[in-house]
Amino acid sequence: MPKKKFDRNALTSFFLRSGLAIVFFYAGIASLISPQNWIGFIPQFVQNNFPASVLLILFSVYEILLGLWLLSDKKIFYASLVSSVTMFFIIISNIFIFDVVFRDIAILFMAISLIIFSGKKK
Amino acid sequence: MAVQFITTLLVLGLLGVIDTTYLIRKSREKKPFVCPIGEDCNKVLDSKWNKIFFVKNDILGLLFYVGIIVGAILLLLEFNETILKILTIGSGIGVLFSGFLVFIQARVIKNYCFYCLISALINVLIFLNLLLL
Repeated sequence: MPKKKFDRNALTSFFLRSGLAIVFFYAGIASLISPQNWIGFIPQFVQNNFPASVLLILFSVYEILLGLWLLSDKKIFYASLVSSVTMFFIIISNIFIFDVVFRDIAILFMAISLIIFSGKKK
Repeated sequence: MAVQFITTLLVLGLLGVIDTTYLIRKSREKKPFVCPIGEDCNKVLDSKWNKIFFVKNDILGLLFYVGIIVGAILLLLEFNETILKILTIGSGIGVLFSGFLVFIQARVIKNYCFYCLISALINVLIFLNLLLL
């Protein structure tokens, strides 16, 4: 029986999805465990209009669900689109602490790569 | 105790649960596995080595990862040296067992299962993570 082919595309998608999911899992779980370390990332104008602690819990759950969606490998085009928009808003809303969020640009670009990659598969 | 390392332990436990749940679900569906590394995952999963200690390895793995998550939550609620020791010894056994299964894949079955290798990697990371706590 011929040896099965090394599937470069499936592996690329797997690592992109896993990388993004791990980031969302860590952020989601860490902000549930130590909200005091993460509440500062919620922009002031949002904190002025909504209770920050409730918002943080909701956002943590959202991040964990997004991670699960990415790993589910279902409708990845939309999952990566949502991930990109999420990362974009995280960067923009924390642009004044750029020394902290500059690494998020790499994650945003990973998500954008996944949009392009999964769009191609259709 | 570093809370970050309990968080990473929870993340690793969750990844393990997802990995083993995927393996269990796929084998229940009885559909062939897609193995991205170009090996025949089915040869590994259909082999007699997939059932050791009277339970399928994927179910054993799932129980192990659920145990890690429960242990991590207990550590978070109240840090306890005994729980940490149990988790460290348990995960050490997990690493040895994973090493044995990787050896079996390499030398006996002569095929690799991608998701089993991922599980072995998660086990090593869990063990290292526990050593850092």
